[in-house]
Amino acid sequence: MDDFLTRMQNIDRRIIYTVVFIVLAVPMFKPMGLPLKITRETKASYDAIEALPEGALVMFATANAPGTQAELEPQSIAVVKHLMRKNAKIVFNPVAAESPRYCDRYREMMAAAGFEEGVDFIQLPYQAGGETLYVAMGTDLKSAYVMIQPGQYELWDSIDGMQDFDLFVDCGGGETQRWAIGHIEAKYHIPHITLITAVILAVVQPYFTSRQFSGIVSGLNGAAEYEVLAGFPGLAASGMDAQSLGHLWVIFTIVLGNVAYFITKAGKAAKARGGGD
Amino acid sequence: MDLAVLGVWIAAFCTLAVYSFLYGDNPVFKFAEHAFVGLAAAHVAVMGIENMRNRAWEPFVAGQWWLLGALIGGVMLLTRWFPSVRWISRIPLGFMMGVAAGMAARRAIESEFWKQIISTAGMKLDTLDNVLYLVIVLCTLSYFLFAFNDRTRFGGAIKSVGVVGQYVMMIAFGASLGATIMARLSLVIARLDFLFRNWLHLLD
Repeated sequence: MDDFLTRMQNIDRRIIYTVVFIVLAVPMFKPMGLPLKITRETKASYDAIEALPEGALVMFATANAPGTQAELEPQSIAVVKHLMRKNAKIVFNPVAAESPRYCDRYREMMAAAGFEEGVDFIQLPYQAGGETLYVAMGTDLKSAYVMIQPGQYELWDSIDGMQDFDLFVDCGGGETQRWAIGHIEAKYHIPHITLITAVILAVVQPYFTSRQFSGIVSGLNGAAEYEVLAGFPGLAASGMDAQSLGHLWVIFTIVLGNVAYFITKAGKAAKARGGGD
Repeated sequence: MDLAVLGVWIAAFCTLAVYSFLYGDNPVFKFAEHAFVGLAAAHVAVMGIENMRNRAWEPFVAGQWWLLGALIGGVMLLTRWFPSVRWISRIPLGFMMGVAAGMAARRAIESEFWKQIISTAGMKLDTLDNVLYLVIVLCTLSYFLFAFNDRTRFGGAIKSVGVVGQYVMMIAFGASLGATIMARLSLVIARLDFLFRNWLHLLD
């Protein structure tokens, strides 16, 4: 028994990863349709877009990058599709060096759906600067993008500043959320939803409670919830069974290791007491 | 071979090369790791050069002479590579840090500090969630109150409430760890989906 418990505390990591691979891969081929609970943060994001008037002006700022795309890309695609359904006019704004290629994809999606570039959507050029860029956008949007010539895009010409936007969507796994609420939401009080990686949910959730964010879509589960709400089943919804089984396996290994540890520890203590008598 | 297909094969190879680390460190993993770092650095460098051209050089040439200051500041940063004049790089660096501190202070005081206090203090206690929120905030703040003597009745009470705050923080840290695991699993799911769908065509 002691030998078994010791082995349970020292399972070869290759066995653990093989099981992870199996529990994640099997549901992809055999979906189980596990129930999905819609969180109020995701519902609030959906409602914020649903409340937009037809043809509303939206800025979609994204700091998506290869390290975050597994979570942020399904969220972004679901939100962009929802905005397309509302015939929103979208200004895509890549705010990280890796982000322009993701905006290219959204532009292609909109163009394929019959939206006209320059009139219904545009993509701003990437600019370095991080927080200073958000300050510049909040101070004078047009001055922050002086490289866009008057007459280049009809949609851009119709915009005077951030005050014209009906919604600000901020997508990223880092600091951009704080910059956006600090320099844009605080100044213009534009409804603001944020698409984030699950890791930083605990950091940004207080801003939802204080209503600085109108909604939060967090992680792959947030993306799946949004897909279900908006009626666009995609990668996230299909990946949730795998996600749930993966969690079950992680919980199982944690419980197994801890139970084995405490039983072993209790056994050692009992032996020590027996030896002392 | 179609370039798109070649791209999928390269991506599949890199994915498997990186995951080979789970079995053990090996040269294939090292190759993928170094290739990724090199590509990322090259991408950021190209974007940075493009930025300098669009935002500083071209407007400067077009007559915005005041951008000369930014260009000179950028060049001064590069003096870090030359030990004898390295001190020059501290001037623009200090300027950048000052700007960053100023922006962060303005943002933090208004939108992170003040609005959070107002929001928490003005919270309606009409749901269990809100009641818990307020109790947890007070308990957590109590943990960081060190100005009271534990031996007095009031100080002892504050310390007891702080112990609750300590446990609440541990729950929060546990939740963050759980979220991190969830995020990592999402990454694996996305890569498996890519391998099965785009590379092997096993999924529709």
